[in-house]
Amino acid sequence: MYEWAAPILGGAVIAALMVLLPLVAYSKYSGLPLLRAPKRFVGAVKSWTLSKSLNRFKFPRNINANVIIHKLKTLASIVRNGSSRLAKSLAPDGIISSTKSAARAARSKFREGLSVIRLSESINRTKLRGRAGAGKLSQLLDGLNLPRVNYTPNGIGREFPTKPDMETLNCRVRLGSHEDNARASDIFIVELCGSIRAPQAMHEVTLTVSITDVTDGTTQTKPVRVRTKQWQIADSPVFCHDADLGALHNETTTLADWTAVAQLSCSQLLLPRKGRRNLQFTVAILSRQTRETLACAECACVYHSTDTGYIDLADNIQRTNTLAVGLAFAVSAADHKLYDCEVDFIKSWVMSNLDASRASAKAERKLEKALDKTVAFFRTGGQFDACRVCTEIAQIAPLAIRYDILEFCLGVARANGHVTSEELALLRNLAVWLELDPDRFRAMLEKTLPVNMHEVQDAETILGVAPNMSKEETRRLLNREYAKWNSRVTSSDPAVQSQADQVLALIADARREYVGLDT
Amino acid sequence: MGNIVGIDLGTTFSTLAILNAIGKPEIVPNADGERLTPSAIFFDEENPDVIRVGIEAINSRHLNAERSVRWIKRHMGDTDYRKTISGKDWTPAELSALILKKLKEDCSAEHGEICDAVISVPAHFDEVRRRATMDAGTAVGLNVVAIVNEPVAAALYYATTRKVSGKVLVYDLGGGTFDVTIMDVDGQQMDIICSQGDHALGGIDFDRQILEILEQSYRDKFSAELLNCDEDRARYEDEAEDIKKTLSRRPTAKKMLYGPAGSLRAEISREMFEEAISSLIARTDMLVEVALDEAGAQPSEIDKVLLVGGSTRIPLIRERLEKMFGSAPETAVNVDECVALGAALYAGLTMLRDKPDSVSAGIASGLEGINLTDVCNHSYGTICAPVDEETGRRTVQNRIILKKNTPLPCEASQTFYTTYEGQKEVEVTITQGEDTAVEYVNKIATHRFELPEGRPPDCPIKVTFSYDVNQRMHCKFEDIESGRVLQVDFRLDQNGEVEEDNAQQSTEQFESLKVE
Repeated sequence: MYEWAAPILGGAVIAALMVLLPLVAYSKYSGLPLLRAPKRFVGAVKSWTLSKSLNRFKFPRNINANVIIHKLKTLASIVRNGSSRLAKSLAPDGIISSTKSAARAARSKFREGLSVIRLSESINRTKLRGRAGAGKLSQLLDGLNLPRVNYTPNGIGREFPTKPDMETLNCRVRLGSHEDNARASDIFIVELCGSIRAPQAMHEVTLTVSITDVTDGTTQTKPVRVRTKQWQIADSPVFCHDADLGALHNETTTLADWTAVAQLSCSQLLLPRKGRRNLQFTVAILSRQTRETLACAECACVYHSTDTGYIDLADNIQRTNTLAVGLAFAVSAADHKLYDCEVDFIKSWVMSNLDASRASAKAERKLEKALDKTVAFFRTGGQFDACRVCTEIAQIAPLAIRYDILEFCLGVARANGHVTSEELALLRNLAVWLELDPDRFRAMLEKTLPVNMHEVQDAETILGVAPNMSKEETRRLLNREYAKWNSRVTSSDPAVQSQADQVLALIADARREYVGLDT
Repeated sequence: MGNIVGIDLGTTFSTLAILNAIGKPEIVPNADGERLTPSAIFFDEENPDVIRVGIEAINSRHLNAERSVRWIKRHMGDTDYRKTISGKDWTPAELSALILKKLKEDCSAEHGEICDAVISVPAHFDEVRRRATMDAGTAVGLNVVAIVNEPVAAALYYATTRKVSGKVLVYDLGGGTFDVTIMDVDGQQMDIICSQGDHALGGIDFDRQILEILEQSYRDKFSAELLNCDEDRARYEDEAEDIKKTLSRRPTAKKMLYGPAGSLRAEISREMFEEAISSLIARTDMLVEVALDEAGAQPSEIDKVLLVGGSTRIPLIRERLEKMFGSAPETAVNVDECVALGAALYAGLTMLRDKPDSVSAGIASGLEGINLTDVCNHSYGTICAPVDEETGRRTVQNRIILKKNTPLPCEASQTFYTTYEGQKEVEVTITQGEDTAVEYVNKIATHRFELPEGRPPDCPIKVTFSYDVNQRMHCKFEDIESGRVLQVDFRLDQNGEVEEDNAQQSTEQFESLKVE
């Protein structure tokens, strides 16, 4: 337990904070950062060109159709048995749904990058050629290997132990890797085989893929979320891939072999938790007009996620926010003075981040009490191990949250209109301990704590001149700072102009002092 | 055909040069016979119909500082600055216009009507300050055909009067501003490589250091303040300037200080002065180094250092430059006049390019063969909201499209994307500045660009900025899918119809003013 926290952590302060701050976290992060980076995602999550795969599916001419059909039947019966067991054990929470906007977005993307060839045409052609030719099933399956994707040998989506039932729709998921900006990332490759029955020929259909996390059992399924809004269901962050597949030429369409229908970038998906996860994929072919499910298939797979899950994040944020309040008080008390305006700033941060509509009056009062106790602790000279707290935050909080914490602490430092060297030193340490980029920290410092707020205005604190720097290093640093501030001096904002003037004067003095005029 | 002139509208002194019949620039002395006119204005209380500009204004300042104005160039573009005289608020552009009126009238009295003029500005002046300068010229009836950077003008004059080739560094330390420009000169072909400037570094800053020494000496001796009113300050500011000039010639300067507690004989040595200005000198050193870095040049690669501006007479500055570059800087050109002379040449070149029919054959022949390639003085960009790769969050930032020091004419494009589904419009902002942080750049225009409805996010919008040799900036925002285009054109003298009306009104107002 932390030194400062020993008398408090076990008591009302941390308890109240821990109870109430989750609401802060939840309200802020329940939606999770919605990263609108569809530019990259366009290529990452795309409906696989079913037709493209099928066209590439070349059957050897001497194929014995009866052998193939027999093998498929056997496989189908095994799969059918396996699937029903699986279906019993898993309880999907009905996340397969779609909205007009999601469908429109999906269609738009689908059309943008890929040429849609009618599904039924391709399927029928494949079927006919498959029956006419001959070859081993394994060869046929190999023929469906996706281009530009590397399969991992021990990845998810193991082969079905039995043959799929060709009378129904079957799905499986394989793990591949995809190069995105020279970085390899995992992708789920969703494959289908079997039959789809439409009410009539030329029926237009769409494909939906949804994923549920069933690691904690069938009664506690959790949806998988996605970062990109385009692939979310309406206003919720839940993932659902939706793609227009065109018209089925016949009433019954059979996919003779495993056919990849979607590639889903794992980096865009948000699983509930980090580590080994059991995922259930549900693939459905829907009537575009009525949204009726024409065919549906499920499969389970195991994936080892290296990313922090959204439940992990919520848990971590709860903890992080509690620790952040501690850090804020530490900054405030760094100069051994805890100003009322600083305390008010911290309290207001806690209150404004708290979703008041969800917090009971009692909980709020408890929180107030906890904050008051913390104030009393720091006012009586309580010690706080900020380094350890930061180390913990660095482990559990994503970078963006860590920047938020630093910004909060900077706000505390500026609350009383000036920043002392002790406060500044602690802030600098916080940036290091939170593993933040020093240049970014400097930029935040410049914006939040302009030079006229600094109690001590010297080159070390303001400009970052270090005692161990050589003359040449100092000269370069000062030239860089000079170029930067000289371009800001003509700003139309008088406050920026004044700040630039002050910093330029400081740089000139530093140049004279550290570099001299004899270079 | 009317006269073509170049005007150096300086912080402390202003000068006007005219192109003679054979296209050679000549300084036109003012009505007092002086080649340099102090940039000082005095509003005479006893004779309110006449506004004094020049040496008379300097002398009157000691008697009534409140009704006098100096160093107005430092406030150019400052929208908050006003000098209130007898209930009228004067803007920096209006006050500058009074100086220009004096120069124009003195020149017209001797040479006849002035038609076209180029006014020089420091290289680092932004669009607002350039526009304010141009407005000042237009207000007094000058046809301001262009604005030229002071070091460029100086280098133009230098290169057309001396045989020089190679990399030239123009070191322009004037009364109120400091510019460094590096250029390639090959005969009469001049290519600017880069310019850097410091808006608050010049002769008056050196004077202030001397004044502080004088004040401190008086304080030490009498424990009293030397300066007790604006008139005292005005007088001793001029004394400080004298001391500075003396110290450029002699090792010591002496001055009697008459304060309320008694008189003091102050003696200032060159060493004391150099110590006092060492921070300012450090600033000049840094600016030179930054300019060299930007040009990708080592000091040894500079073939010639050209001194411009009165403050380059300070021995320490020459010594430092000699030490830095390994050879003595070029001082042959008159440092106070070369900017105006070069501006006149620039005016001739601009007229030859834009309206060749209005230039006499003699002038055209005199300017033949001179070719100057200027650069973009600032970076121009737009505000966008990319996703931060590190944090995964959208951050608002300035994205530079047209980089500073790009040779003119130039054009650059970048493609941006809409951020959300159904986005109906984009707020497009044109910025000037070198920072990515929006807080530190100037927003020079903002428009709304309407987009077709019902589209997914990520629709590309191509932004193209171009800058032509006439200092006209064109901005084009193009929605690639729909083909919709928003075009924004800027010119320093064009700000829309309303402002033109104002300019007309302003011209009439200045016509009725008597300036001597």
